[in-house]
Amino acid sequence: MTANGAVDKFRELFETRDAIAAEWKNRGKKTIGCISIYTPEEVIYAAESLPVGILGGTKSFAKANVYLPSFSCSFICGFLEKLLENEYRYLDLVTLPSLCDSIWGFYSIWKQISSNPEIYLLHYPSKRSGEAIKYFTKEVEKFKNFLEKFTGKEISKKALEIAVDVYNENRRLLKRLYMLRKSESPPIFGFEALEVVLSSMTTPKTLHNELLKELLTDLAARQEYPEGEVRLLISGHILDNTDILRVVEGAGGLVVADDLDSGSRYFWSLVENTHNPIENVSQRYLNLPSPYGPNVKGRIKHLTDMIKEFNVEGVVFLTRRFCDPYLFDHPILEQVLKQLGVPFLHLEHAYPLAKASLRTRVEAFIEMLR
Amino acid sequence: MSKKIRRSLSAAREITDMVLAHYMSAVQAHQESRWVAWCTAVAPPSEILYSMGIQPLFPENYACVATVMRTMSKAFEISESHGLSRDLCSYARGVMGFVLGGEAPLGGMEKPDILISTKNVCLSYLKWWQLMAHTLQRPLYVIDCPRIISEIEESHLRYVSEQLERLVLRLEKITGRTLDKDKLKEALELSSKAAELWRRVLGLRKARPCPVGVTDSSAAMFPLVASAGTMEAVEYYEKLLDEVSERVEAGTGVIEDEKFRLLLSGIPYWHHLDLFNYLKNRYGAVFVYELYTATWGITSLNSTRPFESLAFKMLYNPTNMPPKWAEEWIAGIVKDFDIDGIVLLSSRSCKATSINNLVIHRVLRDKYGIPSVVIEADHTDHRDYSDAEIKAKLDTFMEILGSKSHMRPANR
Repeated sequence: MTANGAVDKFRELFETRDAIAAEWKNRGKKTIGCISIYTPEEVIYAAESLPVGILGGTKSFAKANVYLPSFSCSFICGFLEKLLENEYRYLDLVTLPSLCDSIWGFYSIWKQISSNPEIYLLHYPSKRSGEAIKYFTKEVEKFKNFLEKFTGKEISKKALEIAVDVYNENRRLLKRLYMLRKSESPPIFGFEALEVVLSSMTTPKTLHNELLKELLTDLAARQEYPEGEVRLLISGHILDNTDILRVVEGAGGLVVADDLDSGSRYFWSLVENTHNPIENVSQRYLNLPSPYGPNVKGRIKHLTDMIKEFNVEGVVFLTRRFCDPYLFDHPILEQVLKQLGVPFLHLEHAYPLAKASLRTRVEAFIEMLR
Repeated sequence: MSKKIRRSLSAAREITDMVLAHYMSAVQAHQESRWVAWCTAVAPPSEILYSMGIQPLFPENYACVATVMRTMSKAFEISESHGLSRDLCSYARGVMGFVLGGEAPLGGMEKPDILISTKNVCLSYLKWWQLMAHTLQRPLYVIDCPRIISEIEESHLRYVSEQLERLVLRLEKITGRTLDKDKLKEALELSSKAAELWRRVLGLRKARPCPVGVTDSSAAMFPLVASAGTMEAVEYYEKLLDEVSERVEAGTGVIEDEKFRLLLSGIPYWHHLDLFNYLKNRYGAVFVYELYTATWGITSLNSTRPFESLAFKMLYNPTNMPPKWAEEWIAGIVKDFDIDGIVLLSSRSCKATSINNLVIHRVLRDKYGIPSVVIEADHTDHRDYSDAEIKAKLDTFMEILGSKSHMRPANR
């Protein structure tokens, strides 16, 4: 398994994300931490601020465990650890959508132990009815007003329209990259695609768009193709890094598609128009296929569409220990795949990763599919 | 050290029959062609349902009853074999075991015609209800509730009350029954009355010695969970109030020689309720208040504005309120009830009631000088309970409280 250099830039962007954000801040602009996929980043961009996707760490949680119990998920533990280690000192603000009990718990804890950075909680409805859309739109409008005060920049309709264009362009480019993976010989590994998406969550979008265009040109000229014996799809939450995918692809799998917060779900749908940018942006974020919606249908549709479109031979479900929303959806998704006759493997994991045992299980799965 | 244990309240002993009657009433509802709804238990729209002749059932309560009856083990195995992680809410895992065919106590829960989930306590509510609706192939109605970060605002109330009104329209359409506004008004008055009586009962526990212990209190909250909006609940709490008032007048306490007054936070470990007796018998320590049992009585309803009022009740519950509110609420109770220490029960499968206990412990200590101890097990899953470890932790805590009590002014 060798990467061929085309995505090196993206790996570098992702690995140096803290320095990039710190530099942005040094230029007198705000950096705002967020859970990229569920936070209307366009509004942050329109306030000339940098949205930085927050992630959980994977090392020890020694400092976080003073405040969080043993049954907390590694995303929240890792994020808190990083905050307490002062690794996020460049963040001026953190915006959290109220997705799950861990996030609400984290919000309560942080409010009681620190005020730096400040945390802004954005209500993310579990319904898609008229009143929920109206409510979420108001929430985003309130967030916009808050950001105007916080950054001292007026967010005009024009600025929002430009932000939507920039973000939609990023989404279209990422989708074009993913479409190349439909081919019998996809030009990139799954872990490389993940590096591209993760870096999109932390890099200024205009820069990311430029590099994506170059990547698409470079890949067209690619001579060597990744090798893998089985076409796999990874389904799950947000991945903090590429470790798990490297294990999967090191064991002979080739990840050709995903149903991940840090994958296709981040960019698959566009903001359709900009008649009323706040409303249009809100609707787009509310309609994401996720475990936070009114039912599992959206997730099932996205997952099964991806399986068909990308000619997937097996699915690897990733769940974090203590991550309730995904763990609750899991039995339903398993049932769907059984009915479709698609083989799957469920990897419930915690950090630090037990790589050897993960590898053994993936190898056995691939052996079965071969 | 007093070993004399008082009998439990006679009103608390009646609860067993009321629980049986409650689950039977759903069977009866179906016989009468009325609907059965499975609802989440913290501030569900029971008042609406009862006034429309729909019988609510509460899977959380059922899980708790099944745990006390020690009939959960097999249910956990079944749900785990269907792919439900052991890290998930043990109420959900237990009930899913029964839904998936496990042998259920009390003849099982009558199957629902609709499921109604709020989101005012946890996301697990929503996810658990989705899973049940999916498995049972029944419709689900979700009432989305925003978290409160400072105060309950007009926009929160409007959002939730609109959803309640829409629920009524939907129920009217599918059941063919219309909501009688007068009946709803009456249900709200009855619900509010029952909550007020419950608050008065809890208030009487300020007395020394405390007339009601945690086991009785945990049983006696049942009618407010299951029957808010009915005359039955009001009558029950009137009777309870009388009995507790008599105890206070007679100076009868849970224990004669009350040495420590404790506050309980979190869901009781239903499989080991005898843990409370351990503290009582060994240390003369009595729980004089529980945040959990108090949750069902903290709001008054205004029957002239039913939907807004019910929306307020849904939003105004301790797990949905901001940390500062919770902190001041606890400090107020400690003062009013002359409490010596707090036992914070964490449940490893209930983040909503447990995730910030370590921080609450620190805030109480540093900001208010209130001692507390965090215990970790699971509220329903007995496999995550270590008796020796928990008792050792409580022993240490009680020793610390004991050494502090020597420093107390004598006139307390």
